[in-house]
Amino acid sequence: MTDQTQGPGIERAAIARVFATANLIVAAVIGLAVFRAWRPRALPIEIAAAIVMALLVASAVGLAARAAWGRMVARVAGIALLAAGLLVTSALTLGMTFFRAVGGSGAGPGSTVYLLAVLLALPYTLAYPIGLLLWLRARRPAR
Amino acid sequence: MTTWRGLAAWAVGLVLANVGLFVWLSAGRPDPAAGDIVTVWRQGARVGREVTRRNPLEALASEAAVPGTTRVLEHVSSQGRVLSLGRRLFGWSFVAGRDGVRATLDGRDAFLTPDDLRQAGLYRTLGVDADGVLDHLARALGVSADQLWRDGRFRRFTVTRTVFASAAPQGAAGGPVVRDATPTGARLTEAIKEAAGHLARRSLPDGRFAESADAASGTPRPELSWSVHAEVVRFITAASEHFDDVQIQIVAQRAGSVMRTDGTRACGAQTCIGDGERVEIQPSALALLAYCELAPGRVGRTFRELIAPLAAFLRTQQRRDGGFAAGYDRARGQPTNDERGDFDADAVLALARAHRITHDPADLDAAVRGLAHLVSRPAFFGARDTLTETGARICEAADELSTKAPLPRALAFCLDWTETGAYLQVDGRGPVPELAGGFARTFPAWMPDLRVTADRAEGGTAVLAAALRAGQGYHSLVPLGQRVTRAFELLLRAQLPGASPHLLRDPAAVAGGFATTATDLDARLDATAAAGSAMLRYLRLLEARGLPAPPSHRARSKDSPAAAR
Repeated sequence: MTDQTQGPGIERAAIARVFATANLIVAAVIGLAVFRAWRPRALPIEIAAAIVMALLVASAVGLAARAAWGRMVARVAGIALLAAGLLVTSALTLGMTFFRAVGGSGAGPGSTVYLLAVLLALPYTLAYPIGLLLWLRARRPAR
Repeated sequence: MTTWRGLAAWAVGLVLANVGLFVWLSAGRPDPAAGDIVTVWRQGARVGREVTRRNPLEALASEAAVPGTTRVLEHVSSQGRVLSLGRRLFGWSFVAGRDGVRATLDGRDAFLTPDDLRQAGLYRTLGVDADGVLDHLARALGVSADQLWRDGRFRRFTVTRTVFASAAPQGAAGGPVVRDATPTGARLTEAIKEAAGHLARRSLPDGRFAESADAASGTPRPELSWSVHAEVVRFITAASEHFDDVQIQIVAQRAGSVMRTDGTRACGAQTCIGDGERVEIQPSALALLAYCELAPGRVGRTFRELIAPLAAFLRTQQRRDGGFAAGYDRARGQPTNDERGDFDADAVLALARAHRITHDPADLDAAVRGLAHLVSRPAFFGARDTLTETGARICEAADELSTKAPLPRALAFCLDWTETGAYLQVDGRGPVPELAGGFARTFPAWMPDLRVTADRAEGGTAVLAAALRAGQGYHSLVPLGQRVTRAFELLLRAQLPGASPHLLRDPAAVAGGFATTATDLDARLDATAAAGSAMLRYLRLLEARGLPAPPSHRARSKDSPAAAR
């Protein structure tokens, strides 16, 4: 239901603001997950998370300000987030399989907990960056 | 389109990788050529090993005939591959308490059975100590650990075990005695007395406690902290009062006195317990709890005088929001700026208990404000965290305060904490069914930590008591009661010397103690005090609910460990 009185530019600006806000939310979720909820501290994970968070925050600022560099940073952030998502999902599922194979069917916290962890990670690390990248591609000026 | 194709390829690849990994790693039938492993043990040392395909009962028969020898037959029941891409992954490829390690190099085999791994202390919470395992196997094969790692082939295996104990030498313990693990009043009484007796045996003439000496190797441990000392004093005092055991009371009073004379410091205008320029509040809180147990005793007045100053110190550490500064900087003469949830919980419980003695409204008010602070914060944002065992102490405090100043949201927090903790409880479907009921410290929840199990069992018992007092329906608490019961069953099974006394150099020395995990053999003071304290709280609850429990009686037996001193 689009207001016909508003031009496409205004609509694009609104969507950009939505993505800017969402970028900040995703950055906060990653920060909470890595620096608060995840107890084992590992420097490589923390550095990677900090870089992705910085990219998301920078792209949020760029998109909200409609700066020319905003789209470029958002694209880099989307790719970085997607790569992290692929890694996290792979690690979670392979980890679950590894411990199940070693320990047997009743081992570990159970498939429900792992499934929950994957489902919690998927929206932020796979679904969202794919949506962001698709939107950025749709906005790319025709050559 | 390229993006979608790439994602589809990743998804397919991930599924195939998972299926392949599972099939490759899953355990299968054992190598029929491997044979049975027969080992003879004497005083915790392996004195013979034979891998045989003949009748295993005939193997090492002459060695087994020596009095005090235990012969163990381990039949390999399954075998599986391990990941050896790196040593950490290699270590994780085993289940602690269940799996053994087999290494093959140039057609020669070396085995580390589950008994070997336990005796050498090579099990870890998650798997085995890879370097230690490689060292042991390399020695057995006469090569270097690096060469074995480079050229060897490794497998994991499980065993079915049969233990044949020969006649014990005079005065020594015989084979394993399987005892009932149902936490009845009688069984709990026996276990609590054994735990208290074990701790009393480790009391030194100066009132301190001997830190754990490794049961297998005799490795000395670092000096004991005042926090552990206070926990031990608190438990043995409570146990000696409950069972009216004068000998252990004497040990407890001596231990309480040394804490007063050697541990007391001036923290500004207040009195605190600790060492060094920065004094943390935990030893003071735990000492206060210990003094509160000692105060009603026969010579309790000495300790009663110490309660008000320590409570005052904790109150001065409390901030406006109800939390506590975690330490006191004696050089600068002021509280530090940090806060710790576990210290907060200790301080709240200590102040609540102190109020029983001091009747000072300030102590009660400080405890209530501290408890409200602990249970009001959202998870992950501060002291409140329903996943860690800190909740146990919070719930003890909630139970303590429920008769004086009930806080409904504290009970709600505690019920929430027990539900969340259920994820960390090992169940019977796990890889080692004997470990069912214990609580792990972290995921994946395979190996119970006995200290954590004791803390959670005690916290769960406190929640049961508080919930019943608040009028909660009995039926709604049945699942929690079952979880608590299973935790106590594991504690009773894990109390040393346990089911494998042949792995201990001196089973009598560790009898009654508790190790860090169910696969360790080294009795630890903190784990023993925590387990004893939890069992005593549960016994008191059983007695209060009118369930069968043996009558208390004065224990003056001449074989009492303290009496022997």
